[in-house]
Amino acid sequence: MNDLDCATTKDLLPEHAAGTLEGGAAARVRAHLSGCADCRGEAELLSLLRTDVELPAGLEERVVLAVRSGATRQARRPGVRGYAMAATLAFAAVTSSLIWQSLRNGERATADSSGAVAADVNVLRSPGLSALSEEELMMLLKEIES
Amino acid sequence: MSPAPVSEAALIDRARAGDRDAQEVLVRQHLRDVYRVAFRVLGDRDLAEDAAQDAMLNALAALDRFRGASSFRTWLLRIAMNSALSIGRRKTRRREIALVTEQHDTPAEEDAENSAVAKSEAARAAEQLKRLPPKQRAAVELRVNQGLSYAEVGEVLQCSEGAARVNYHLGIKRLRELMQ
Repeated sequence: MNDLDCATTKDLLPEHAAGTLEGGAAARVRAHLSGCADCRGEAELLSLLRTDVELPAGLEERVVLAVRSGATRQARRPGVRGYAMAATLAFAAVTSSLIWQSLRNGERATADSSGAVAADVNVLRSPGLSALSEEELMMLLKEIES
Repeated sequence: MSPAPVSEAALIDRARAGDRDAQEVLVRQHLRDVYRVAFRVLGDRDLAEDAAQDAMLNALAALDRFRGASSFRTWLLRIAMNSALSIGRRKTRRREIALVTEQHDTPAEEDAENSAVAKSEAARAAEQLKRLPPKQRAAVELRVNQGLSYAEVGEVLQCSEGAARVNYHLGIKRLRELMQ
């Protein structure tokens, strides 16, 4: 029996594509996909996205070398963008940290407002996000993050 | 007899104490995921290399601040995300990031026609993925390729689980439209 709806199936598709679903769940997803072109289309897209990204040659050894030399913060890859970026990275790291901390604080503060909490809880409970339009999803996101 | 496997917690403790061997093991275990997230966010190999290296070295230097509230991998990917966004913001101010795909960098010598078609479709998907806003792109990458739950995606993106979920669905929806 095909007992999964589209929303639940779509939520399980990343695990299905990775092959990490347990037997019963995998069979139910497969059964749903066999009769649902929309979900099958999304499953195909996910399989296209699961392409390997190759680690650039030499990157691992460069990082290991930097670790071995103890230059954990200063070591930069020579020759590509030079050392100018290294000089600005410390500043950028602090800046991005502050920005993100500020965003997090804002999020916590937002979580205190009942409207946003309600929106977030609704999102967590709702199995049907994939059925919403792009505009509705954007509005929902704004409500959560406002 | 092979040596007994070392738990990740023990490895992190040793790395935190300055053990270079343990730090090297962590680099070799996680650099690929770190680079992958950076590449998906930035869409540029050179920038992603910088971001990955920066994230890995900064993470090892900041191990004292890892409390184990989330998994080490999630914590590390959050640093990678921050590093990539930081580099991306600076780069965007100077110029638009070039749309470069992995596939364009490798010689295209495909024998089987089906394989070539599949590869070009994958390349197109990778290309269209770059047109999404960074958070949606990252949510898709973290969910589809890194196998993270919505709660973990939220930890990496430093947003709520609900926002992570909406970002993922928005990303997939837009991507499907772009692929049509």
